[in-house]
Amino acid sequence: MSTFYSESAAPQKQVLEDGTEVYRTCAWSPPGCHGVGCGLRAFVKDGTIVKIEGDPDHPITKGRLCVRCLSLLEVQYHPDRLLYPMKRDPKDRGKDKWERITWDEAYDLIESETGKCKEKWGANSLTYLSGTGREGGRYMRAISSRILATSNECYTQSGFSCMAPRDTVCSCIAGAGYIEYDYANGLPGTYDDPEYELPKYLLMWGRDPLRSNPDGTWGHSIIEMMKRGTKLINVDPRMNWLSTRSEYVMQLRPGTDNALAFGLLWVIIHEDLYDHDFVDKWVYGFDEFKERVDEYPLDWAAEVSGVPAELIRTVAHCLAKEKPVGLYMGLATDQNPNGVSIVHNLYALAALTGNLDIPGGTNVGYTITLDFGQSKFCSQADKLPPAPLTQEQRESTIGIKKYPIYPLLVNKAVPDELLNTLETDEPYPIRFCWVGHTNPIAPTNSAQPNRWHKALKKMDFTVAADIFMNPTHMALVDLLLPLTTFLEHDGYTVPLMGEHPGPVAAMIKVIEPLGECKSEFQIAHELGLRMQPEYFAAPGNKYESSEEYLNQDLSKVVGFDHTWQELKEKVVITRRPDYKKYERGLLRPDGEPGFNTTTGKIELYCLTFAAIGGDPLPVYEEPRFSAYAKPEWAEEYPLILTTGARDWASFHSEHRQVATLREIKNGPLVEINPKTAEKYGIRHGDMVVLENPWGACQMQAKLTPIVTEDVISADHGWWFPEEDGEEPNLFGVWKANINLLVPHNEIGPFGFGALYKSLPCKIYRADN
Amino acid sequence: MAEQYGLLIDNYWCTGCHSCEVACKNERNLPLGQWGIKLLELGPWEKMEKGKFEHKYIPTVTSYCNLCEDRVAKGGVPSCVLHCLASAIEYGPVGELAQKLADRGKASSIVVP
Repeated sequence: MSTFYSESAAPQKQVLEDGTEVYRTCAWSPPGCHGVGCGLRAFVKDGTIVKIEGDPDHPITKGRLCVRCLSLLEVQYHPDRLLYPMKRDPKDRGKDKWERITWDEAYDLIESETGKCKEKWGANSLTYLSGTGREGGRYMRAISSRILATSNECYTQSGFSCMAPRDTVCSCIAGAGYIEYDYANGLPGTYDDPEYELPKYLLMWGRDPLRSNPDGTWGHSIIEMMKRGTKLINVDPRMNWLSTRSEYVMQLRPGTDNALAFGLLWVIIHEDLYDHDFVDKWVYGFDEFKERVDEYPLDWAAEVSGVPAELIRTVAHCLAKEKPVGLYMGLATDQNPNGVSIVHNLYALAALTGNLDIPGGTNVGYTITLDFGQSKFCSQADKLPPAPLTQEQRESTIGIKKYPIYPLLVNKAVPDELLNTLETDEPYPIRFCWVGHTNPIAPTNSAQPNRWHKALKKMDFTVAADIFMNPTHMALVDLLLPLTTFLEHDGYTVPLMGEHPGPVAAMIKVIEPLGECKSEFQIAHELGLRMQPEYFAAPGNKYESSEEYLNQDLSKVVGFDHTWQELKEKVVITRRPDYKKYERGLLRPDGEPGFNTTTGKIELYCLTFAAIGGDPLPVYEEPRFSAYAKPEWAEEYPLILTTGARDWASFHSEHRQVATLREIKNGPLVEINPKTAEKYGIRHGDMVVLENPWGACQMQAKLTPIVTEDVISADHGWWFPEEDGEEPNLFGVWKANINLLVPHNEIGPFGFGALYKSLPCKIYRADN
Repeated sequence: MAEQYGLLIDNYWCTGCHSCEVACKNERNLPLGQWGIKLLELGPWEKMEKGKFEHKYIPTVTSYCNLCEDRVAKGGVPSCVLHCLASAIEYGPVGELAQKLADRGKASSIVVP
């Protein structure tokens, strides 16, 4: 792999005639974003940013920006931004009784409270809760295991239903990183580069990348590709805008993804459409896999998924005969207890059709290079301070005995088991919590956030760090630390956390932090020196300085041979792709061709799953509370609720303070088919109650035919910063809290995947 | 008479991202409730051909729009053109835009403030 950069791009800093300084930089977080690293120009006058524009010299985004960056100054200079460390007496939780303190006092409190907690409740009685996608993910493991010295770091989404199921399959069946459609982001001519072949088709499965730009991919690349002739196959229960521009739309019943995937595979295998050459050379366990697929024939798949058999057959032929085809999997595959099996089958689809790692096909990733927590997904080359954890602590990580794949892969506590522990003190109490870059009582991540709310009240002490106060902070936190935005500290972005080629983009400090804000790196660095000085003061350790951190981190990015200073000067340096890595010995540490698995092949009969007592082959699981799985509920709860569709104007529970963004979307909506609405006497704009056996909430009705008559789609992430923040209102966090309707601990066999997108529900007008 | 300029909007590929609206508000320093370019929505509804939907976004300019004359005078492009995520807006003399529209032959509009 090699790199390149533009010779003609503007310098990183320019000074205009009137003295305004113009800085090129790239976006990540805070405020929240998935880290595409879109190119920005920040215009600075007398130390204040006066304007943000897109950077035309960015090789992929070319000046284009979404509304969140276009309104970034409203975040940057918002009157509600947290500017100083604040503490509150734990007896005043839920009240707006904050007292400004110094950083030294804040660090003193953290040090003394962690010490007291360990002494009173045990070495592992602390937890660090994280959110999704944000830059803070880089530094969470330093704070949790290296500074607080607990192994109970936890991503609170039930079933770890974001990326873990997908990365699990990529890691277990192929020994490599994530697979992603090739959008030529690593080639100098991008979509028109001679080395690139435009995909004939893109198979987009449960994803709306235009709004979500997941994990560093540029969502609007698919518009560029479609303008050039790529056709889209969209798998989504909603007839969204992309579906209206698709060649084929498979509008499946929510949650039945694997029935549809089996149907496609059944046709491809039974009609002998698969790539025999690829299967002979690179697939292990095809016969066993085929036997399993035999159990799920086409007509069954059509009946279960609601997608007509003829359409499934047509799409299967298209996938098998056209080349290249890119596969683009979304969160819907994770947010399903059947998720690991779904991704297993989608991986098989990409492999059996010979589309893996070819130009315009589906790229095979390297392992993650961001320090996301020393998991199997991450490489280990850097000089990190050791985690001062005992073996006993590691083995007592909550939930790992029940779900042994967690320590193998994500190396964190199991979220559903952690909530059980918080509630019951079994197997041991947890009494100290650090809330990092997340808002677990907002309807954005945790299932049953009311239970998290109640359970976290038991903490002796809770710390959080953020740019704004959110409902979780107001309800539960005793010490609140102010963070810098991405305009106030250094960092970088890289596609898919380092797994994929494309722009490595410098996120460059443009102005001094407001107030006394600090970056998450700085907090880890300073707190590490205080609490674990023997490690954090060691010369050459990764946390010695921001530059040392970034240099060591960049050194792990495969094929990227540039320092932070070089990257900062060029702003963007692009990594070229390596196609057909499995033929070239690029996926295995021994340099031999093949995949980094026991057999050297893609194990469609997965030996890793078998070794941990799981099913080595994919299965279909009916959504657990559907009318078929639980017919006794069907009359009371006749609708299927799906949640989590993304919006332009927010990143999950963030951005609700920004007036310009609220003008685009002012509040939460539930999409209802007009015929369904008529049946229940609901008009457009009515406030409706959504209710199921786990909970209820209210939103405004949006009547739209993009959902079928049996499906409703509800927004997530809503709370209202303009409302009373104190208990019990908590900025209105319970009103539209759709996650109250998501059950706890209904997760897949490996502990991955939960039911956020396929739940029973009823609706009625709120004034009834 | 000076040549009339305008914006050619590709309503087939406009994804409805609202970037034009906010980019324009920034450029023209417009308060809440005021727009120099506004995104309107056509549909979605299911057409008589089952399974096919009509759904388009229609950005259109208001009297605040001066086609970013300051930016253009400095050699730049209008802010909505630069920031449009789908690159669905082009700036130019209306005559040239009309030719481009004719060549494209579908789902486009030319707007003039």
